[in-house]
This record gives sequence, C-alpha cells and structure tokens, in this order.
Amino acid sequence: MPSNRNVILGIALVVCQFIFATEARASLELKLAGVIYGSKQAGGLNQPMGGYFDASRKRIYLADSLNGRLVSFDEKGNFLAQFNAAGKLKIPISMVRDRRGRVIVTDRGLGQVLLIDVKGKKIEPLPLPPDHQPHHLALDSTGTLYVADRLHKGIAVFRPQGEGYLFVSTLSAQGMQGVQDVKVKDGKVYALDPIARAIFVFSGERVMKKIPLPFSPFPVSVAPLGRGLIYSLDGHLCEIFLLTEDGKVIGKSGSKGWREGTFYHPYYLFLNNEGTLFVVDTGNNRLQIFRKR
Amino acid sequence: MKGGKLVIILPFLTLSILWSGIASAGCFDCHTELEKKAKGPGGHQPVREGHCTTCHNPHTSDHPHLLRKEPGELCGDCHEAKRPRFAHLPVEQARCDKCHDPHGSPHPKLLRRTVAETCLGCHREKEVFTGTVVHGPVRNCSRCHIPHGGEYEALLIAPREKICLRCHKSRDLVTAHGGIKPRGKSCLTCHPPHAGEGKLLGTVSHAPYESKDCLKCHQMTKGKVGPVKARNRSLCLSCHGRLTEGDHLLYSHLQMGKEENVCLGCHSPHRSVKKSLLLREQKRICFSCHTDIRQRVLGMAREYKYRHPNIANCSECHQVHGSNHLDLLKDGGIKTCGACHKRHLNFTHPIGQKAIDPRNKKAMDCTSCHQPMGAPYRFNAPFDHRKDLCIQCHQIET
Repeated sequence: MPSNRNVILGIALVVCQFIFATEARASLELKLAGVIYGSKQAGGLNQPMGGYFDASRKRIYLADSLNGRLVSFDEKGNFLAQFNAAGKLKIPISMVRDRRGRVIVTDRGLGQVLLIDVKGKKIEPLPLPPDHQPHHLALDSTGTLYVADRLHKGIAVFRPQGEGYLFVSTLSAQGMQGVQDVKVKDGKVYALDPIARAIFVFSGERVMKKIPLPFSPFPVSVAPLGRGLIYSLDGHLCEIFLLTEDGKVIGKSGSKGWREGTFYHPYYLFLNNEGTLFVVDTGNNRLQIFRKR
Repeated sequence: MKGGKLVIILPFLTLSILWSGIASAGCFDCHTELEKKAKGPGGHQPVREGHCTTCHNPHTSDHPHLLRKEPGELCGDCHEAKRPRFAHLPVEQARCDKCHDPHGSPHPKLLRRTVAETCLGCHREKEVFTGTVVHGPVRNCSRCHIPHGGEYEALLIAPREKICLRCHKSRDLVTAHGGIKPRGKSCLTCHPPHAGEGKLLGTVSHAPYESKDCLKCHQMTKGKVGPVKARNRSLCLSCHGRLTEGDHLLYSHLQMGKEENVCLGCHSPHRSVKKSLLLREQKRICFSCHTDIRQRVLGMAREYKYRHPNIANCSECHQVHGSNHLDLLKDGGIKTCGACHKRHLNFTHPIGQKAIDPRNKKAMDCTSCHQPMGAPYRFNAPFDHRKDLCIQCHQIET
C-alpha cells in the first residue's frame, strides 16, 4: 500500500511530464528540408519577393523579382520552367494560379495586377480602382481574389466574372495603416499590416480581430496554419513566430545570417497543404523549405 | 536560543554600521572635492551620509568608476521609476549621469547645470533655435516637456495637436489665420515650436504657399479657403508626379505611411524649418516607424554594440522614396559604402561578381561582412573578426 506522500509525488511527476510535453509541442522546431537558389539552366534568383505552392500540380512558383520572371520547381526543388510573358513582366513580386490555370501576378514595375493566360498567350491588367498600389495576392476556394493594397490601407476583393475578375469591395478596418500581405484559410482572410504591426482577421466583410505583434518590429508576412495557429515573419529580426489567434507567441525559430537555415531580409512565407513552410529569403536570393520536427 | 542568535548577529551589524563610516572617511581622504559637494546643500543623501559603498566597490569592479552595477541599474535600486511610453534618450540608455550629478549639485534635483543648460548641452542651440523669432517660454524647457518622458511623443506634456492650445486660445488662432480655422493636425506642422521667422513660421516654404496660391491645393468654400482638393497623395502628385517613379521600384516608401495622404507623414504642406519641408529632423521621422533601427543606432540595443559613426541623415546611404537595392540603399552595398570608404574599394577582401559568397552563392559586397546599422563585434561585424567571421566561409581542415 503506497503512502500518501508517494501518491502525491507520483501525481506531481505525471503533471510535470504533461507540462513539459505540452511545452515541447508548443515550441517551434523547424527542420531545413531544402533550399532553392535557381538552376543551372535558368541561373540564380535575384531578390525574389513572393512565391506560391500550386497544390493541384504540386509545383512551387517563385516571383524572381529583379530577374523579371516567374520560375517553377517541382516539390523536390528541381527546376521546371521560367516565364516572363515575352518580356512583359518587369518586377513581379507576387503570384497565384486560379482554377482555370491562369496566372495572376502583381508587377511592381508596372504597378498592375496581370491576368495571364499562358496557353492562350493573353495578358490583361486587372481593373484596379484608381491609384491602387497592389502588393501580395491570395485566392480562396471560391476563386475570389484578394489583393493587399498598401496605399489604400486595405484589401481589394475581386470576384471571377466571365473571362476576367470584377472589383467588388475593399476590406479595411480601423487602425489599418498599410496592408502588405494577405492569406486566406478556412474562410478567414488574414491581412498583415507592417506599420500597425498587427494581423487583421476578416470573416466576410467584417473584421473579427486584430492581433497585435509587439514582439515584431518589422513584420513582413503572415501564413495561417489552421486550428487557430498563425506563422508570422519578421524581416529585421529574421525570425518566424508561431502564434495563436489570441496573439500569444508559442514558438519562434530562425536567425539572421547567410548560411542555409538562416535568413537575410526574408520577405514572404507560404505553406503547402502538409504544413511545409516556404520562406522566401530575399536578401540571400533563395527559397528555404522547412518542415516541423 | 534567541539570545544566542542575537549574540552572533549583533557584532556583524555593529561592524557593518561602523564600516560605512570608516569607508566614507577613507574615501574622502583622497576624494576631497566630492566631500565638499556631498556636504554642501545639494549633496546626494547616501554620499552626504558617507555611504559611498552603497554605489561603489572600493576594491574592484567590472563597471566604470568602481560602480557596483551599470549606472542606470544602480540608480534604479533606490529611485524606482516606471518606464514612460515615450522616454528621453538618456533614460532609455539608462544614463542618469548624463543630466544628474550622483554626488551632489547646487542645482535642483542634482542636475549638473540649470535646466536650460542641461537640455542645450545635447540639443544644440543652433539646431533648436532655427530662426530669429524665439518662442517666449522656450528657455524653460519644462513648460512643454517632461524631462524623463511621458505619454506623448517628443516628451511633451500634452498631445502634439493640443500642446499649443494650453496657452493659445483657439479663438485667437482663427483671428490670426485670417478668419479661417486651421484644420491641420498640429500647429507644429508650420510653426517650429522653439524659434522661427515672422509669426514663428518655418524658414522653408512650399511654393504655392509662398505665392499665396492656396487654391492650388485647396477648394474655395463660401468665399473662403476650404478643405484640400484630395485627401490622398494624388494631391501632391498632381505637381510632383515624377516621384511616382518610386512606385515602380522593388522597395517603395511612397505607399507607406500612417496618414491618408502618405506624403504628409514626412513633409509639411506649408512651411518647415527643414529642407524638403520635412516635418522634423530626418532621422527622427525615420525612427518614428523604424523603432528597432533607432534602438540600434542610438546604442540602446546592447547586442548591437558597434555601429556606424556620424550618421547625420538616413538619406546619406538610403534612397528614402524607393530603391531596387536591399535596405533601400542608394546604389547597392559596394557603391554606397564606397562613396565614403574610397580606399576600401581598391584594397579589401575580394568583393563583387568575382567573389561569390559560399554561404548564399551571392556576389559579395560590404554587407557580407559588415552591418552598418549595428553589430555585436568590432568593425560592425556580425561575427568576431579575429576568427569567427573568416571561418564563416573559409573552412579550416584539420
């Protein structure tokens, strides 16, 4: 028959184990799974600013900004193709691929969002409202396109209509000062505002919450993981934060550097369906791919 | 039992009390000038009472002046202070000794000099008084500023848009502006608070304002100058359209700002004391958003011990409206640095396209080894230059 003291000790040990196990799950340990610098055929990247994972084709796309092109790779990082729309792309910074296989690109050099039908060899600018300054792009499962607009401090929403897209509204909220990145997950729109240092979460037209990022002096990108978890990236600290939708940081990873596994002016995060994390490491001219340990 | 403990404690207590007296007596034998200060009317209490060892270790220390701790930390032991939202730089740097004499002073609150002299010791007169007309209360800085900091920017005692109204009645302001109620966010957009030219206006004028061509930007409403024609930056770009070139560069500042008209985040639409109608000193404008860089450059981030000296203006290296180079540099990492560090363009570790950094397969430039805005090691290096920096690339085979 164990004494009361032993029982209490046993319970305390179990509780401690549970606490430490939870802590271990909560910490962010990322394992470097691959690095893409470009290819022998196509040469190196030059300050890539954005990327996209096409789940249907299992391809990685990169906006190779100062080379004025889009480049695609397979999941293992093997080069597949490059595309510059017959020289019409100037400084692409973000891209997505819609359900009809058309590529939608934000081109900073042109100040436009371009709808590119690669097969039909057609390029059309999206009808942006006057003086909009488009930045990163996101598509939801219904085909609605979201364009982060830094100048108008909101997100321009476009619905597919006929062959093109129609501007329908702008998502904005009090306190928004310049949205740079936008992502969609589980019907919610996540907008990252680097000046307000916050992530604004929208459901439909309504802002649900503002997640302040006081620990991040220079937030540049957001990637919702689902189940109430969000990744955010700081371009100056060179750190990836894993936080809850209540704004509580439950893990962080990354450091400033030049070697693989470290970052120098990272600019953009995106995920695939398995939760693999892609970090566009702009200052090191590469894409780094991480999996959670 | 209790009596036994007391027997042990009492001798130590007596010795420690005696020691403080002995210590101060010993210190003042040599530091006679401090004794005069301490025993005078403005002596700091622990010094006056001879408790030198409260702050100093008489034998050895890792800190300057044989202090027991870093100066700011030491003061905080007795002078508990809540960190203000907007703190004065020496407060942020925990350098109380910049303004206060820790031993004693004839000036109130242990200030080294008078209030105005203390402030003007750092805030140089020619930078503060930028005109011939000096604002009345300005010689008494604490009329508008809280020296340690407070809830409002620029250490003001009230929000920027309300500070002037503490003395100037809004009724008088309408009369002074020709019957028009000034709608700007703050009087300080046009009036430098310390000194200016006639009517305390800035010395640099926006051309339409100078020529009284108000309707260039404003609408006419009921025979009076009314609101601006456009609330966003299109108002400014209708004349300064050339600047939109910056929109088409990889890194653009022209789209970022807290104001609806982003230009007004940095520039005054009417008058200023600064070139390019800047609202205030350029560095202060940049730091208002880039708070982490401010921490590094002003030496508040301890891990960034080494930083580039003598940076007068951010625009010496950065293209503030937009650039295709990382960090908004004017001309890339080699040419920007080489503009001043000319010798290093010809005499340095290989850089440029012929020297590929094995860490990231990029052409090396100055920023491959130096971090001008702050670094933990000498020569603004991210790693120790004696070994760690080199072996980042040059692996040693054993």
